[in-house]
Amino acid sequence: MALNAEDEEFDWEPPSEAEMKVIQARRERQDKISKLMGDYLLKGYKMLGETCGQCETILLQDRQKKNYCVACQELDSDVDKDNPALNAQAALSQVRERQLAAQDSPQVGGASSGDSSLSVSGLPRPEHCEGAASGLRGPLLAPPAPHPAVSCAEEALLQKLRWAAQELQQSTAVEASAQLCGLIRSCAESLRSLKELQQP
Amino acid sequence: VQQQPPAPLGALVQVAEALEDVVRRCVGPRGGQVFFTKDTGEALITREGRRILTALQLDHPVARALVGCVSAHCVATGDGAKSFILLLAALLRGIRATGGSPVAGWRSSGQTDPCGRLEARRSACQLLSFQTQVLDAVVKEHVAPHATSLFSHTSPAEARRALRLLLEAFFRGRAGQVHCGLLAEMACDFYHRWNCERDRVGTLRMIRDHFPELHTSVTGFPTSKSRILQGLVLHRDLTVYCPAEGPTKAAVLHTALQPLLTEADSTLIISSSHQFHGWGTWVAGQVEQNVASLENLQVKLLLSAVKQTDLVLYHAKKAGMSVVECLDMEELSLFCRLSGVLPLTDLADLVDNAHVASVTFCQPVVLGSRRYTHVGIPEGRDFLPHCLVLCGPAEGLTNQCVSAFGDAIRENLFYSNTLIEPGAVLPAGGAFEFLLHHYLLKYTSRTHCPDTQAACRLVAEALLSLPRQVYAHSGTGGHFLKVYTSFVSRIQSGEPARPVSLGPEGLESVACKYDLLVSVLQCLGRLLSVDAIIHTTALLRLYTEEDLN
Repeated sequence: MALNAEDEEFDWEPPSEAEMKVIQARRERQDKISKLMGDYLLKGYKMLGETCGQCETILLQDRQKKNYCVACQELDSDVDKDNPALNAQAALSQVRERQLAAQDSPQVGGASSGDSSLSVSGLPRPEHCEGAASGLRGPLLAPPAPHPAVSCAEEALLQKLRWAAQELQQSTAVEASAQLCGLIRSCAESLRSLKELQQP
Repeated sequence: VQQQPPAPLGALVQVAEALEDVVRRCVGPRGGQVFFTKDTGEALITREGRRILTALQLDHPVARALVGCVSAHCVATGDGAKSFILLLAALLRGIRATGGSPVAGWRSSGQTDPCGRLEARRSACQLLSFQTQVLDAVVKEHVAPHATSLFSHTSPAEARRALRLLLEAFFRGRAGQVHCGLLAEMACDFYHRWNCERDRVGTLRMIRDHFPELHTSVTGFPTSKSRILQGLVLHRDLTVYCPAEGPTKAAVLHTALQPLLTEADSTLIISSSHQFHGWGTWVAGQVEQNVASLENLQVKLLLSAVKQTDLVLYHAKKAGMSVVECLDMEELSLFCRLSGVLPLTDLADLVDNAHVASVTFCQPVVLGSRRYTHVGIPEGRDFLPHCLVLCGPAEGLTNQCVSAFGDAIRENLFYSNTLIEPGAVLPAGGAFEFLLHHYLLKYTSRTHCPDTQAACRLVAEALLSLPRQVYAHSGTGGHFLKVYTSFVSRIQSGEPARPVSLGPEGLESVACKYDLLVSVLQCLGRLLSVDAIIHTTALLRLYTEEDLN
């Protein structure tokens, strides 16, 4: 409710196109969540009094007492990064792409007019960004080049893995085979941790 | 016992939207039905909003509070659960959309926002004061004049047609497209057969209060077999049936005709078999005397609340009296009220004529798989009693019919509030919402207070969600806008509000719609001003004031 409407009139501007897209995508996402929740409630799921830790959606519980979050488990499985509702950068990049495409064909002005047409101030030009354009939440960090130590460790692990696999094929003793399996498992886990290290 | 901060606005909206989605499928003339099954095999088919909401499993405290509010509203007025939820969800969305500055609200959507909490609380207070100060006045001055009154038609044919339209719209929402015409016709018929016009309020109140006794539900038959019977159906079979021609007299008994040898907590000492035989003879003599007194008063029908002994039944049969035993106290009190007699509680009153009622006929009647007693009651001063037989193929559907009927009487014919007189009706299909929307927006231009303006806009926008939902099911997407714009142009050109929907005509009661809006605003105020949610593991025992004193 606009209580101090006089103060806000001076600060408030109508939302830009990018912001409208985000608002609309968010609304659609909320609608989808409500529809899924309604479906599950009618199927006999119980609506709990708790919310999901990650996305603040209300949790549902099925007959087998298992908790279920409709947003995390049904909606956000694969469209995380590109969904304009969740990622402001994705929305802005969509708008940018469209604007650039519109400007390329009629050839109006130069690159400067393309920048000035964006109503969110303080955005760097496209050639300064890597990947998506920077959004309101700050610039997105590009994935860093793999550190040499990490790639070295990866190589060593892969070699050991290969060797252990060969030894396993030839081994006849039970004890030795079990130890080799343990070695393979630890190599795989180390590889996984290394991969996680690489992603920020 | 753990305490947690109250639900943020986002959670409130989420709960309301989830319930709205559940209820939305059954709204409007083309809405569907929900089929519930239990593990025990019981099945329930319903489109009644309250039934659906109470059948859901909800552990969230906000959801349970919401369903509690809805149930309370439905008990008082008889209908409106689905509209309640739709309106509430629309209002919550509106509040969330304007909470704080639009940019701040958008940035923190879905997360806990302390400023949003205070805003929400303030909006709640504002809405409540808005309702009493502004909304009441707008409805009384601007919307009510557009309504026509059910009871003020000059020709009875017009009045009957208006009533039929009102009930048809109501039943279309409650019982679906298929049976609405039949049920509306029957309800109209019922109303007119009772001759309600002479003392409308009193008769309708009696019908409303005694509706469980005035109807019989029969499962296993199609709904089209429902009918109206003259008189009253007593839900017990005749123990002794002696057919009698023409009008007879009846007596209502609350005691047994055979005197008891002992009372509870007392001991009977028999000193000799001679004494025992003496007692037996005395008891038999008393019974004969009582039945003879009844015969002297020409009573041919005994309606007893208690079980009579075999000796009494034997003498009654000998005297040619029919007996019905073990009747419900409510049914007997209704019978006494309809025929204007007092029940017999003391056997010394057997000589008094004030306890003897006249009935026009008495016969057994078979309804479904049971046999009941059908008695005819002569026309009273203000009414002519009739009763209903409502049929349905399955128990759930029959109950739906029955509750729809009861609520129809309660809500449409009887309901009124201080602002709007009973019987004020508007065309169905959104007329009330369009009118109120239009006049609220006009009011925003006349008032200067920004809070009132915001509240007007919020309520006006939320009101449109109801007709939007109703028209969403019926075909073309632009249907709602077409109806809305044509209605608005008609109001602005000064015409009185004529039937607005392009579908079948119908009417709806203004008092009920307005009370629904008021209930929703109060529920919203309560939800938004929750300070803390306390989880308990044991059932709460609610203390009343008498317990504490």
